[in-house]
Amino acid sequence: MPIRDLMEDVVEILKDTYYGDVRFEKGYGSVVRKNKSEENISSASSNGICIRAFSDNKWYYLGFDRIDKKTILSETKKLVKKIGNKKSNLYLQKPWKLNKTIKLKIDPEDISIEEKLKNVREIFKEIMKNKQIVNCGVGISHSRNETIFMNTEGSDLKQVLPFFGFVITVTAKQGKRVEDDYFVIAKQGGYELFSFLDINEKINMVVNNARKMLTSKVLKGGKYDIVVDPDVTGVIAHESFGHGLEADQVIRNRSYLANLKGKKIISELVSIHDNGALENERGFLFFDDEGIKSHDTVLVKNGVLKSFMHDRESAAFMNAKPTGNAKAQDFSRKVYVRMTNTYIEKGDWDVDELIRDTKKGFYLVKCLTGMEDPLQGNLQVITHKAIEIKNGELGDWYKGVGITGKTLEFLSNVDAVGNDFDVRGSGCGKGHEDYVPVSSGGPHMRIRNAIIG
Amino acid sequence: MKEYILSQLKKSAKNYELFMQHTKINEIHIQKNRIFLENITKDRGYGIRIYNKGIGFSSSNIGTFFAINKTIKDAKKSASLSEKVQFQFPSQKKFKTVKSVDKKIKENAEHEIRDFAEQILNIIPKDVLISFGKLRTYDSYTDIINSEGLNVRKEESDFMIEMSLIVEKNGKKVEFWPHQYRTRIQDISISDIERWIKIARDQLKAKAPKTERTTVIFSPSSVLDGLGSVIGTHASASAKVNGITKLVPEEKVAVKDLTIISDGLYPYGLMTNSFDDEGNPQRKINIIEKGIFKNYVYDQFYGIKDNHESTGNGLRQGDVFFVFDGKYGVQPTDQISNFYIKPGKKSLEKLISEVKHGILVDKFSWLSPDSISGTFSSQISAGYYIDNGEIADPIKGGLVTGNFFDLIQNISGISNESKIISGGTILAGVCPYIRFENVLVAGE
Repeated sequence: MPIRDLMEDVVEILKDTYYGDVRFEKGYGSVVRKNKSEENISSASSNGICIRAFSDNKWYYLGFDRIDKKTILSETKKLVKKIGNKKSNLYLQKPWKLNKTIKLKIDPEDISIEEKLKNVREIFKEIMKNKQIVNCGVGISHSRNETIFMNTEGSDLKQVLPFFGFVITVTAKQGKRVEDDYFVIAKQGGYELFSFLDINEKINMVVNNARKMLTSKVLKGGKYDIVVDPDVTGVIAHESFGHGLEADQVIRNRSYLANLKGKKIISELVSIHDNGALENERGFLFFDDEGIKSHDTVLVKNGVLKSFMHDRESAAFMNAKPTGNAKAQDFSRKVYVRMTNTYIEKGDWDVDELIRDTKKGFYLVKCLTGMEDPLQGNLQVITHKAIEIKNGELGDWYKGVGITGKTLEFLSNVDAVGNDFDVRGSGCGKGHEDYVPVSSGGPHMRIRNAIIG
Repeated sequence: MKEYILSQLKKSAKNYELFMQHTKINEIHIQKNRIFLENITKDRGYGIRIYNKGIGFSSSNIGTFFAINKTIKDAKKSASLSEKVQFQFPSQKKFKTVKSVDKKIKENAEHEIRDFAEQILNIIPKDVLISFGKLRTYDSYTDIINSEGLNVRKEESDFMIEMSLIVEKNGKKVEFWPHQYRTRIQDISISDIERWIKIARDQLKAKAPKTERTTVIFSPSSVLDGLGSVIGTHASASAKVNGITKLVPEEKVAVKDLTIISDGLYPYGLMTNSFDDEGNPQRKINIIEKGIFKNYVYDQFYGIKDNHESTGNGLRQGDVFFVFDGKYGVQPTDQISNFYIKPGKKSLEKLISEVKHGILVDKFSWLSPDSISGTFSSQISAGYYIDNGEIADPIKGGLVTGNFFDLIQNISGISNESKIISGGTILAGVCPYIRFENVLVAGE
């Protein structure tokens, strides 16, 4: 039975409840990667159906990997009979239709596995020629994910989104000291993201960085002026700030930003966006998992809190509109309010000038991890390295540090924002699980009196 | 479907392995002290490895003839293109019987988690809000069948609980946010929930720590995330073969009180089973014995590569997030099973009583060390000062910083009880409290 016919039948059954939707997901992807001891060529395909029904202000989910009409329709009927159509509070909208596929300049499926493997092997060989480099990992991955969405409002939507990833990790060793560095591309796009890349420049960068880290020192914790790169800026925007603006956290009484809309909360130099319509980035989507069109949501403008991110439930609860931020990890998981592409707007400082203008402090480069604390707004970001700034010049290298403190105080101490801009794709969990594709970024920024250690 | 896949595999490849997992997931979500979501999901998928001079892998959860044949074709092509290696799938061996399944999850998971959710809601005091809570069970069975004659089935069960406990007083709002996995529902008790509520309430009085070098006691889950990820990486055969391990057999790496075992047989441990995810018998492997590094852990691939038998550590656990229902999409890698640390001789109370000034960390925000270098820096989510041998003011915030290779040489005490525990970075442990000396805390 064609999947669309089955979905239409499910929607007909769901019409006997307050609201219902059905989402079909299908994906295919492959990976070619190599390190010193293993070469790995693999592929994966998957599909699944998620059926959601809302009644009496409560969600009911059914998830199926088998597209078996009889089972799916009978389980849906059973569920609808159990929950009925009880008055609820959920944002409803007019139906709309869409059928969009992102077209790629070079479709990775058109590049043979042999060609991808040849590229991976050559990069691996080039890196391993270098002294002190004991291992490296090189990987090319891509996928294509299709979503069909229908609901009891009458919406009928389809999107096909591509993903392309390229990663280099390098491990350097001297005596017993082992250090590493990495380079990552994770975007929506095709093989052109690899073909047009200056590979040698990236190889030299990660090899030199990993080797230099072998002589890095350990930084003594305390309060310092810091300059952060776009990667660190992005993680602060996403982890430390963005999670507190997911409106489901407000409903749960779990956001330190809940009562601050319209107020100036951080430096006027800082404006923050969540933009699901930012093309080519990892978090791009035409519509979210509740059938809401994606768009640019200005979260903070010149330090003033402007908006939260909403799904249908939080929008109804807070008398707002959904912002296209409702996403699930896959057909088996709940849809939550999630970020898409979250970034800080660029400012007007030239980056070299920003460093020259800093008398004493540290330049923090590349993020390893970040953790949210939406209730209390505490900051935890771990960087890959720290470089000392002395009289406006970069000096000794230090091992990665943690940044801590209160997010609002930290972002209030931003006194310079660079005129550069970069966004990096990654995955984001809601708490400890439910990973979805996102990106985060922004410009370089300087923060006075930050606690690092 | 299994029979069709096997018939096609036999036609396509001389050396093959089918890993096929069926899982039923039951889930309940709580929001603001009320059950507000119920979810039932069925997932079934297969991962295929083919060896033909190289090893190829492909996976799917799609049961159509087309998808099955495409998956086999992909694995076959990968095997023919990837680097030539020596390999052989494991043969059938004798397995020990272990305790690894929750009968209650197998019998009626839907009822059991609803019952537990209601028990929790019944004991939640008025001043405590479950901002959100998730209870989930996984009921799985997995067949591993290969061309060497191996044909085994394993039953698994898992239980997950995560909740945000919020306490508010005089306008101040604080949270304790536990997240734990167990094999059995009964291994998280109402007394655990009550302990979490106490920690949440204590956070109302929490202050930021000051900057100092001091004694720090790590809780069992912090020990698992910290030591588990660093020692786990360096004790893997892949780290040895790739030349990145810092661990050399028979070298002293820690104080003599520290013994770490990869224990694949520990009753009801999260990674306990009779055999691993490629069919080799699980067992106990001494990693560090009385401070001396002893053994690496091997899966089948690295065992053959390093001329060593598999130690039953070929496990399909993800490297980014934990995998329960989707193991068929992950290839086995050489991982420690249950990260077991031998208990010490002193009670936690005794360890605390011996500290003039220090810190007890119950939970970090997220302890995720650089597993290669061993360095870490993590914020205290819930902790206490220890003064004059007694638990004193609660603390929150600040960063605990260091390197686990240094820390294990500065252990001054290990508690006398190791508990089944899960972490945020490493899934499965059986760990005690550990007291480390001279640890840097960056605070105010």
